Amino acid sequence: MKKFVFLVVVVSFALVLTAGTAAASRIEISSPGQQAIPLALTRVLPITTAHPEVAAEFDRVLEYDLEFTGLFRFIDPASFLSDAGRLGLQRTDVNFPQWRLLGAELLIKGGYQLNGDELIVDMRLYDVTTQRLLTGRRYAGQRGDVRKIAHTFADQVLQQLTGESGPFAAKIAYISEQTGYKELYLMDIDGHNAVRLTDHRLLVLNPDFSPRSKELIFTSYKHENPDLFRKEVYTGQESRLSFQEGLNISGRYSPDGRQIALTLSRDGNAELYLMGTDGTLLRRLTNHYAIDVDPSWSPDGNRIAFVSDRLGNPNVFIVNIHSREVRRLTYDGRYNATPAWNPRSNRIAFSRLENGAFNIFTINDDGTDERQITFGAGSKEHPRWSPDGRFLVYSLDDGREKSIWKMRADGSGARRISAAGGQATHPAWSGRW
Amino acid sequence: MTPSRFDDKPNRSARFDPGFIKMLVVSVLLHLLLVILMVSPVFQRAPVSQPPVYRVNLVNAPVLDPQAGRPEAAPLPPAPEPAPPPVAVEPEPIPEPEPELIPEPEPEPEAEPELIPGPTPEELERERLAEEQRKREEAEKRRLAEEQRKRDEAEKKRLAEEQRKRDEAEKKRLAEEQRKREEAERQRLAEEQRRLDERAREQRLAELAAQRQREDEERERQARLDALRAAARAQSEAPASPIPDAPVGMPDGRGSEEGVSASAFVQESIRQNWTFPRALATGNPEAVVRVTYNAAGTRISFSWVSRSGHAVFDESLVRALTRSQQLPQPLPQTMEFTIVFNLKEMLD
Repeated sequence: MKKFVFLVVVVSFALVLTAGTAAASRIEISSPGQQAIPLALTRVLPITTAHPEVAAEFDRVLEYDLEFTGLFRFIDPASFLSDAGRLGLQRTDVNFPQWRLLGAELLIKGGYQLNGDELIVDMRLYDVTTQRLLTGRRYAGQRGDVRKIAHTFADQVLQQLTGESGPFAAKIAYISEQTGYKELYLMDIDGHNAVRLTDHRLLVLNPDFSPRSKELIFTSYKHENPDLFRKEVYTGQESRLSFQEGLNISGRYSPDGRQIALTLSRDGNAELYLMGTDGTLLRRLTNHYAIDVDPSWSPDGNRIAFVSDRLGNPNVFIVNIHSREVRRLTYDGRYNATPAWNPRSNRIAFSRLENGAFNIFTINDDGTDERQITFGAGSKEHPRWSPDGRFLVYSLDDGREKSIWKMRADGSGARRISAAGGQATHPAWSGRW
Repeated sequence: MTPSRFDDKPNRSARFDPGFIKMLVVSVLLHLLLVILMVSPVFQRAPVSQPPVYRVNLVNAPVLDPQAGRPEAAPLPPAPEPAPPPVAVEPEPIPEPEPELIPEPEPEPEAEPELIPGPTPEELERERLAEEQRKREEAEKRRLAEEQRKRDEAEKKRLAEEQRKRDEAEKKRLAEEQRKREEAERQRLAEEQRRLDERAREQRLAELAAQRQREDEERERQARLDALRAAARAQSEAPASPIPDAPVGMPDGRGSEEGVSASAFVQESIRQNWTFPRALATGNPEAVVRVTYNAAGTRISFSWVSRSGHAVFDESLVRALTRSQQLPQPLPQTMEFTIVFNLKEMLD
């Protein structure tokens, strides 16, 4: 017995000793040291003669877009060393140790030349850590394309870093009352180059971009009935797509652009229908005495989120377009409206009325993980996703003025994009323009 | 009092089994063993430890077996002596080459024209010998005089002519010479000017080069200053230790060495070099790599045990490990680590 005890004690001590000298160990690192990528964004430099106003505009737009992504921490340009003043369009021309010294992981360099009206911009994105060229692009255009080129390169940076292009070289359609009537307008994603598209002089509502071509659908009271119109942006051609008796509203293109979901009241009650892009009615999706409006397609095109008051208060429901099976999505709040399904995930944004004001929420398509993402004064409504699903655009009514804003998917980084005046509402984010 | 059965105090020891004491010893020993095993690293080697709540101060020496204490509570190493200001060595001024003086060509001496003295006439006289003779002689004399005069005249004329011609030739020669001299002088001056220009240009170029070098040096100096300032800023932003005189060790340390745990040190070093934006997180990516660091803190091997399948996530790990090629401090010995990367803490 004593022998046994002694043995056990000896063995256990031996175990303790050997365990202490083992050199291999297992480590878990469960969060990164930093979440924002340190980026050195240098000014574009003239390849031939300097045009400071062109360069400054380019730099402003590019920085605005990249800052909005929330992915980067900008290295203070005041700390840039001599390499910032060199063109460095070749990998071998870049002094990477200088940038490493400043803690940069990514470096953007570029040059431009303006010959008459012809503008050429040559941009590079370098990985400072591995001293690699990640992406290089040469853009040729007119003097007036400088903003578009900057947006396009910002998209390219995101494409390179995330595998999914950014949504910045795009347009935002919205409704504004600048002329005294609600008309359809188009602007860049930073609010520049706003143009009016319609002149119906009554009431235009709820635009949606085709995912396949540069055209829009919207509802207009031009013929004193809420009809669904289709408009090609560049030719200006416009046609009435659906003009059934009663409502022809809230049209939304399917992800493949082949069908349109919309609300019609032709059978006496507002119901969801599917329609071909030529205006032929395909089928009815809902059949309920309640009002069914505001459809939004799932990314795979098999389901549609919509708003219905079938259980009393307006809530978001999801219908399977094949089985027509309807499932309730939201339970909290007494007024949930305007759902928008993220085109890249299972997340659905919607606005909820609480304490007299709307705020934007997101929720998983199975009803879990509901989160409020906007706070503060004013009503935030009509959320719509950017085509890459990373950002949202929405309208804010602060009681005096209605304006268009954009923010990141988690609600951070909100900024106003529509110019002052005009009561802007109902934004929609286009695909690559 | 009547004796009751309660008064009959039982003899306790008598009731125990004979082997009780032995069993008690075994039991105590086994409990002791359990305690020992609990505190030994055998039970610490759980597959994945919980995210630590402490952060490791990277200034302290990593050791295998740290004592208990606070990693950031290190007695500050003595501030390094400020390097003596470099003695500015005045560069010796390079002596400027003296401009070579080109000797002026001496003007050739002018040749003096030779003067030929004229002959003197001779007069013969004879008194009264003969008037004729005299007359003749006179006539002769006259003739001779006349001849002489003519000859003289001719000679004078010839001489004058000769002189004139010589003068003319001389003048021409002189003019020619003068012209040549002037030409040479002009050429010399032009050459001189050219040389001077050349030298001035060279000097200007040298000045420019020197200025450029000064500017480069200034920039370099500025760059070094910037870097130092950045480092100083980073240093000043580091949180100060609340207990500066606490022992240096790890919160869970049980060893005897002063310093931080080597694996905690490696974990924190790599974590700080890892950048991954939350917005790029999709799903719960997890990747496992195996790396080996030698005692100098240099990574000598790297291999994937398993990738996450999330390209951007894996790419970020490659960057982090590239940046962690050299640890800021040496390790106690060559060590192999299996590192699990995931976003559990961030996605909480």
